[in-house]
Amino acid sequence: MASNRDQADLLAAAGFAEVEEADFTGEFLETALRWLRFSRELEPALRASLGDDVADQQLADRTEMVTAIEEGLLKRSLLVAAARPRK
Amino acid sequence: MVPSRDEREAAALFAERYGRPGSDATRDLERLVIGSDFGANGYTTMAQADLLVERLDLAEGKRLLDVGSGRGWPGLYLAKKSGCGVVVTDLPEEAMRTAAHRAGSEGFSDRAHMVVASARRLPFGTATFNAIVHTDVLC
Ligand SMILES: C[S@@+](CC[C@H](N)C(=O)[O-])C[C@H]1O[C@@H](n2cnc3c(N)ncnc32)[C@H](O)[C@@H]1O
Repeated sequence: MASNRDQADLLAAAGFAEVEEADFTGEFLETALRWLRFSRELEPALRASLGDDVADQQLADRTEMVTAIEEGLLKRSLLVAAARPRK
Repeated sequence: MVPSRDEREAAALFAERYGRPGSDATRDLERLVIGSDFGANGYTTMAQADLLVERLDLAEGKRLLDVGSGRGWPGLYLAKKSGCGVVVTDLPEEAMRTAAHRAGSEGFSDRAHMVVASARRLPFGTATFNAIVHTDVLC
């Protein structure tokens, strides 16, 4: 689904109440950097188990993910919402 | 209902991924990065999953739905940790089979169920669950 409304708005529009949003973009970047760092550290073993094509693709995807977060194109939030009490 | 193009593409992409057997290297990598060992490769860390247990008040007697849980992360972990019941759902059958196997080998298949279903048309009635999670799922 594509929408330019933010997720908290979409949740509210879908009938959820008490929508709380916490920004986790910092942790998201840390995790993305860890995927990249450990993929490189374990590269020989990963290549042996996944094959070169998949290993190359994963490295490229992980690099792209880090770049996208660093450039502010991606963010990550924890959204917690409650269903509205039913009448 | 006929699956949409997005659903068919996601099912094919992820079926290919979940059909690939895990290896020591992929398990080591996942443990180092997010702390889990479910064959996941997303961004929900174990600390964040623990936060979900708390925020969603998961406990014995509660029922959780995890939408798009792949091979069971984080839904099965949340159920194991909190004692709640869980239904995990995803598009590829292969992922649900692996999740079923995991719940069985960890001895809680009596409260863990797998359903192949699209998030767009979940086959559950209103108020079936006490909590719903979805992590790293865009559909
Ligand atoms: C990146 S994985 C995330 C898996 C897991 N939740 C995690 O956090 O590691 C995205 C998952 O969403 C599933 N998915 C994508 N579109 C879906 C849809 N329409 N209905 C159900 N699952 C879907 C995919 O099959 C895949 O398993």
